[in-house]
Amino acid sequence: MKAERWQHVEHLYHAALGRGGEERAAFLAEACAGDEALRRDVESLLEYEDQAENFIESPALEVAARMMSEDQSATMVAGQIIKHYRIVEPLGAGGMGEVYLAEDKRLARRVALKFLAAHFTQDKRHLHRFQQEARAVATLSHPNVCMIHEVIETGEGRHCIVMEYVEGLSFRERIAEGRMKVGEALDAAIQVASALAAAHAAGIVHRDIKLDNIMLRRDGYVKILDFGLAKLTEKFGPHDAEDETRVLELKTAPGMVMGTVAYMSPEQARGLPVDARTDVWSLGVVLYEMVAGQKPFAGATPTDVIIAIAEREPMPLATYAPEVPTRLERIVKKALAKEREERYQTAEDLLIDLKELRHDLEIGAAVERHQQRTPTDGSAATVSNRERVDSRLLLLGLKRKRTLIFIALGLLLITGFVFARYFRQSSKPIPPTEIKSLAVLPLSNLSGDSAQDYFVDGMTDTLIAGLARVSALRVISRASAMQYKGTQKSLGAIARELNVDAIVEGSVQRFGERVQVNLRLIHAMGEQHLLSETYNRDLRDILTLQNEVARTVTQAIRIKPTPQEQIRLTEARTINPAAYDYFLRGRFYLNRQTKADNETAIEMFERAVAADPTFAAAYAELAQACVWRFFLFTPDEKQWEEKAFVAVEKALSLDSDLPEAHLARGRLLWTPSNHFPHERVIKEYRRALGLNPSLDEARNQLALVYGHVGLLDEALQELEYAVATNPSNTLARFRVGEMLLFQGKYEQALTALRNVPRDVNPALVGHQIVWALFNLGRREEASATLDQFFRDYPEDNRGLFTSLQAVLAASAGQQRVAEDKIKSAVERGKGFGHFHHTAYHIACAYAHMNKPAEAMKWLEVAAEDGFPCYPLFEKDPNLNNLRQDARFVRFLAKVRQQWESYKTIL
Amino acid sequence: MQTPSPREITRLLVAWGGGDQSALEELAPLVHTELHRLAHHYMGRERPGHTLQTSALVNEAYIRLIDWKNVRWQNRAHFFAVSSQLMRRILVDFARERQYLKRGGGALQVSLGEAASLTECRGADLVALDEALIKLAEVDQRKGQVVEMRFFGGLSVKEVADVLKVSEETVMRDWRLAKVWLLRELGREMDNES
Repeated sequence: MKAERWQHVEHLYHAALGRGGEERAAFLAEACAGDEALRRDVESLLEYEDQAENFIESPALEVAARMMSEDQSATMVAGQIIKHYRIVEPLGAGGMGEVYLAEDKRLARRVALKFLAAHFTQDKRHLHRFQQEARAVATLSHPNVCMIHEVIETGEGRHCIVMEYVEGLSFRERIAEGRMKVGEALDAAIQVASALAAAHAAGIVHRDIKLDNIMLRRDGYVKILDFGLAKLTEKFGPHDAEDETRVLELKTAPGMVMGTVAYMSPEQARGLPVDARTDVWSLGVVLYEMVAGQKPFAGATPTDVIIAIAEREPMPLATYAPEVPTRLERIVKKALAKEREERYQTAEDLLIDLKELRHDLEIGAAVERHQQRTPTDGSAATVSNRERVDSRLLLLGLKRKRTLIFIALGLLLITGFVFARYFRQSSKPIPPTEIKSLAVLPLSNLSGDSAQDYFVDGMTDTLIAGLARVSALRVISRASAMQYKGTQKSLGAIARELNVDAIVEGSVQRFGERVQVNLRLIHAMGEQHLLSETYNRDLRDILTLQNEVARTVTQAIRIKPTPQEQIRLTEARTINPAAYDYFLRGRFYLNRQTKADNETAIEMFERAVAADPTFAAAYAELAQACVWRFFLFTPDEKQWEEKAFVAVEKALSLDSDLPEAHLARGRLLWTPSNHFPHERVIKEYRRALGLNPSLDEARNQLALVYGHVGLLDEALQELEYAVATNPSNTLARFRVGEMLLFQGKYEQALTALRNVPRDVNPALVGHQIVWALFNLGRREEASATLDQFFRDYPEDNRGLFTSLQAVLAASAGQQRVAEDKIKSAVERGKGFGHFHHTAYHIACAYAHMNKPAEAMKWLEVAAEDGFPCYPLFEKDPNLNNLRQDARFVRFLAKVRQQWESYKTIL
Repeated sequence: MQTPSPREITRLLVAWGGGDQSALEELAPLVHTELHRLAHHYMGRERPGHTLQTSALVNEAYIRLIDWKNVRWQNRAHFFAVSSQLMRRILVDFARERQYLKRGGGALQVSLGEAASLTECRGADLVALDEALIKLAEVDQRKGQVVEMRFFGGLSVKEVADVLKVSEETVMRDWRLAKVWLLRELGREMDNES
């Protein structure tokens, strides 16, 4: 039925097609014979006849391909994979090609992919030069340079730059919102100049600095894009490829290159060779535009612009921005000098002037803020009369401003003078004695509010941690540096006490979400100032500041970080200010080492990671705090160990380069229940120390493990270094005595142990003092000391003291007493995992009693339970009765073999 | 990507025609490669008067994908039918995906007037066209096949006639009616939506 009707429609349709106009209507009316539905059916099809001619005439493949080419977003589709990059979404298209956001699947990070339009890369020479330049840029790691990760070929001869993904606005977009305040523009220009200085030092000239190439990240960070790209658009010089002379291609299409022409230097516009000073010029144009909201050189056509660049002076900045300081006007003028020789000769020179200006403006602003905070008669005003007070302040405004200007001018003069002095000094050649070690003294709290101490101490810690990354530099640990908080001692005296070549000191002040840090680097000899810097930063950029300080200081003292350290020192990470605040509070409490403070610290770190779940360092500290918690305070609460484990692994999954996390992991692993995995733990501590050579606690722990496996000289070496970086690491001092004991140097050991400050667990020090006295033949003193400790610590829950009593009794021939004490020691030590030292004493007691079978049994227990200390077993006179025993000889050979293998991992 | 041999493509096509869905996953990238090759050609390159060259490129692409000349194929009709279906499936999927991505899932169609006046089927309409084609096949299976082979499979009128064992004229008539029918259907679709 249906099919028949359809055949009918088909037939009528084709028949009607051959007829036109009225003839068709008449034909259909007749053919349908009153079947209106049929007629409408056919007619409705005929209505489309005109439109059908080209409809679906192009094959679908072509349609789809056009579709793909028409909208640029479809050139690459989301989800498409290029090598190990997965396209996420298009970011836009520029003159050079399309840019996409992509995910680097291998490194699980976001990147931007810039697909270069084919015609840019068709010329092999251009391409080659670009690739060379890209490689150079890739090695340039500066926080303000958008990193190039790699350049890949995507097939079909296309090339794609894989680069850092910068989220934010271009300065072009930023300026579209209105001109920038002087401070903001200065901040941005400083960042650009600093990046250019680094690039120029590496022999890279950008050649195309313009507002579109500078990005403002959401956190205020500035990133320069497209370093090296100019290499693709330049024409080769008239002489050929060998000639360095390259000329920017001047496209004539109006509008198209206006953006680029406006930033051209006069030499570029003339087609002359360019150098670093061209970038200085372009930055001058950018700075002008930021402040004025207008381009310095404008014109209706590119030619007009070029004429303006070559011949005209720009309008004074003050025309557009009356608040502009004269000094800024001068700086811009000098950057825009037509003759290269009259311009700033390097970006570095420009940078210095910009920084100096910002510094002075900040001091002026600080004075103003201070004045505003000074209580006036209106400060106690209630809410109801606040308005009145405000208006009175307004009336006072003019007069007060004048005094302010006076104060500010005075300060400027003074700081200008001081600055000039520092500057002269810092430009001097490096002092005769090299600086290989330094201490950062506790920064002073300028706020005068002791509630901010945690923040100021935290900043000190942060700076120490940054500097400590440089392995060529010995940096005194925070614990030792902190003892000089509020000290009256001279810098020279402190430097002598800490045995360092230089001192960093300074102050911190926090203004809401901003922080100002003033730092001075002072040579210990002659207290000469090597560096003086002021940093004014957003709290979010603290970690970047940390790196910046480390870089500046190492540069000033000419210490070269290793390439790996350099990479870490240029990482720019932003932080969540709230999380960081909790983090610093947590550190503050953690360092106080009491149970209550430990609890608070754990809470703070937990809040920090809740505020920022990607905050790796906070996880590492949380792990540390939990480790301390169950090692020092609540060993029976298993949950802390678990929590610590989770936090460590979380920290390392976020950042595998966190020294504190490796330290914590080592401590967590090295337990009786894990059977003391010495090798693994040694690796963890070494990793930690590789990342932070000044992490004295990692050295102390490493020495502890070395001591247990008999690497005694190595242990002493580590301890020496630990004490040098942190003279107040008393645990390390104790450990020195212990190692000397294992070496049989009883006299030295006793001296060392007696010098350990009392704050170390007296029982820990005590049992080794007893052992030293006993081995020196001073039995009575040993016995008396032991009795004293029993009175102070009757529980002896490891059985350690009891086992010492057994040795004393056995060596005195009191066999029954010795047996009793052994029994009691075993009883006390039950369930206490860390038993190998007690086991060793028991073995010694049995050896004294000439019971080789029992002695061997306990000796093996000691070795297997984590104490295979070959040099001790080899020499300890307490085991002399065993030396002829075949079992002992075999045992010793076995332990020796193990010891040799440990030596090979060194 | 290494281009698989015609024999391999044929094997995959047969497998897919026989219901093996995994064969599609291997075939789709081949189609996408051709799409990219063509799209690349269109991008910023094409100038008026180059249509001939374009047609040649498209033909070449089809030949690479459905290389029947080099294939010993006992049932050519079946082969063409399968490969056209395959192209339809992959291209419509591509268009659907793109539509989804571009418009956040809510496909926005070209307006009716535009659609009717379009000289070629726009991207967004590939999906709608596919749906209309399903309806056409219900009314008239052979016309559905003609469209599938001509439009999606890229076959010439003669090839379609050979496959369907009808005259070229019949194919032309089918083609002509199918087109207006589809246009009318697409128009109705949009009326309903708006």
